[in-house]
Amino acid sequence: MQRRSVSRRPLSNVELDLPVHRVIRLCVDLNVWVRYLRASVRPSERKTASQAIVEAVQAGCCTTGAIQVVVSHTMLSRLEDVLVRLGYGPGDASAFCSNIGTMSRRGPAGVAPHVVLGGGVASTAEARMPIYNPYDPSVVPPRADDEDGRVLDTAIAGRAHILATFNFKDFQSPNAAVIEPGRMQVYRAANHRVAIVHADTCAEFLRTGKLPSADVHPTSGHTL
Amino acid sequence: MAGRAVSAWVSDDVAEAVTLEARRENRSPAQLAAQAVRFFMALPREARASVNALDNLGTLDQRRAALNEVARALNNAEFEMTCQRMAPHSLELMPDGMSDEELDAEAVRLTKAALKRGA
Repeated sequence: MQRRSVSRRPLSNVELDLPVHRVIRLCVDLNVWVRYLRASVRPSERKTASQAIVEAVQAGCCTTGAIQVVVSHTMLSRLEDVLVRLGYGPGDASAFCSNIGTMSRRGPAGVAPHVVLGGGVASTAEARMPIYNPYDPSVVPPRADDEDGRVLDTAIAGRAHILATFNFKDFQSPNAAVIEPGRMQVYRAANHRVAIVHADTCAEFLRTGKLPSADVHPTSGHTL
Repeated sequence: MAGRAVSAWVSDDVAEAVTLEARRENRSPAQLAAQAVRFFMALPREARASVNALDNLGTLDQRRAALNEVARALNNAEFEMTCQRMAPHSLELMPDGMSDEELDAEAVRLTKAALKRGA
């Protein structure tokens, strides 16, 4: 079997397509918004990751630079569905999602919520797992649901630099190079790379401007 | 409603926009104008001075950028207000006594479960 080459050098922001002195495009997974609703109940001195992320999106900036949230109509309508199914009032759920859409439109890059063709009903082939190959240890069994694929589709279509999620493990894919297990991986689409980052790591990045720069993990199928 | 009339001359463009928005919101142009005046007068004096400075000295892009910031601030205020209204139910879903890590995991579980319920 052909051996995979493993990069042993740290990743720079340039390799991750992170802009310097430009707008950082951030896609926020649904679970981060849900977590923020609980975090905003009792604002404490120590900010949770969801607070740090949502507050950066609201402000349109962080210590690292300008922040533009990337979101799609599908994500907003799914989030509204989630909130209603969790028992929130439909009016509040609708207002919450509408406000997120406005954050996107009024952000530093002024990006309206995306219409992701092919990602609205089911995730596109690019965001979906390839067929399971028992002889290739880098191919893990398929994801349980399509929802993560839809979020990933939005991140790719919206050319997001970072996708922040609390559900990191469901985004594992052979198309992603693991930078730090359980914390950060870089997903490579045909013409775009997006860093899938655990919300805690993303919050740290927004505060310090630093992302993990460990070696590419040997179990990943690709080097950068 | 008791009150007094305050009249003002505006350009045709503004008058047309007021009429159109009033129809869209099923209100009279006077109601819309009254809200605009209330909002403007509720601003601090220095904010009104800034509006005047932008009106008189600013370029179109500068005025647009300032209005974008106002729109963003108002949206953020509404967002926080909405979150506060949703807070009691958030507390029911994720009660006190859980650690931050447990709350993170619970947010993932709740989101996935709600999505599955609709599948």
